[in-house]
Amino acid sequence: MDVKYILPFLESVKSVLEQFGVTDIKRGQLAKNDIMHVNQDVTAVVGVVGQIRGNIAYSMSEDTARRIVSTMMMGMPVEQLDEMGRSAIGEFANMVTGNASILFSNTGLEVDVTPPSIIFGKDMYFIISTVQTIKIDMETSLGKIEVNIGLEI
Amino acid sequence: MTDMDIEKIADFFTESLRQVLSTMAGFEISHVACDQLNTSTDNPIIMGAMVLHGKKDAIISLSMEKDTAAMIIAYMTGILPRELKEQDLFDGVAELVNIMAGEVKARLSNTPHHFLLTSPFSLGGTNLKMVQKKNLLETCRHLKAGEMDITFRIAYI
Amino acid sequence: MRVLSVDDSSMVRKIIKGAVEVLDGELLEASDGIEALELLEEEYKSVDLILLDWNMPRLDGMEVLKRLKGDRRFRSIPVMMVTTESERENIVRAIQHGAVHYLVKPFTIEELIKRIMESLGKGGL
Repeated sequence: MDVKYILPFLESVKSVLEQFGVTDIKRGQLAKNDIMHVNQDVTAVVGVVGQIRGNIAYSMSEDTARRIVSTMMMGMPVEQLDEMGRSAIGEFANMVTGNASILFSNTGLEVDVTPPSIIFGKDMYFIISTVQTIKIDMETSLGKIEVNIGLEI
Repeated sequence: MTDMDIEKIADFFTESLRQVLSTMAGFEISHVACDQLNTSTDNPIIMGAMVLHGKKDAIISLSMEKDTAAMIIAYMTGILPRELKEQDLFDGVAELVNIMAGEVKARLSNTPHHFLLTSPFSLGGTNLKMVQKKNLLETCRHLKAGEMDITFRIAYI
Repeated sequence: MRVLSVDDSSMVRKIIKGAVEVLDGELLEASDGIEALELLEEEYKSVDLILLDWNMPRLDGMEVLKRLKGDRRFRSIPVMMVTTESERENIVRAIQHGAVHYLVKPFTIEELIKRIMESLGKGGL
């Protein structure tokens, strides 16, 4: 898979988090993934159409999600992901995918990124593609965000 | 896109699903309004979903208990539920979404609501809840086949 | 009889396997177009029928069909499309490119068996 199709999805996480003052973001290695993922509580899925087709899923634990929401709200403590917290995570995912769209258009690639759908659950696991997916962990001070990329090229 | 449009489109999807399940699994489903549904269950759920790319993007999903998925896929493939692997269930539910959406795509192809299919995906877990941005157009259908419950949802995003 | 099913859904391949076994046949499986072409390189002499999905990762069914019909080794193997693509123009396109049959999902197992038998008859064996 050509890395130019992957980078915008990673860069956008970094740049949105940086807007909230999170700077210590480390990008892990690209790993080919078994198509199932286990043990995440929050997943934002976006569809991708255009020169490439597929799904991208951003997954995190509830703890990480709470810390992200808290950071977005200027450090206000967030005890649990209630409706407002969920909506804030939705907004975060929206910013990330909106940013990815801009990065794609800057590089001249015709790639449309759909708005995200956020799925909350317990013991959640998923398959986002019938092809092998690529997983990249973004390690941040707020916790780990797993980026799973399943693209048909 | 109006409230009426989305209800009509949701009916196309449920009609398509009814046909898929009747043709491929021999199940007859009836449907009831979504608000009559008590969705809270602690049993594991499988959800198949797909983003539809049109003038306005939408996401559709089908969710059901894992046992229901196993039963449907067993009837479709002729393989006993206990011999089906987890992965078969995920793949099967995703393919149900794919077949259902394919039919509706053809039906809407020459209308303002036409759309392109993207890749179906599936999720498993308990207490799954899908959320989009607020104030969007969404609707659902609750489908029953005997003891089995399936929830269809569509949201314009 | 050996049938190759090319479909990214393992469920669909299982359904097809059931039908092929009813006909005392053997099923070869590929989950996308690239895998199918690779498998055919080895097996084409013994494959009697190809059942081909349309929307698949890496290489879609239409492209596979064109390559099959453009390759003298594979050209004579009958191809039946088995797909959710039910728009008329797509069906016409597939037939024009050499598919012998076109089965739209959803289908009943009886329908599938019947179409497999017909495709084998039509395939110019």
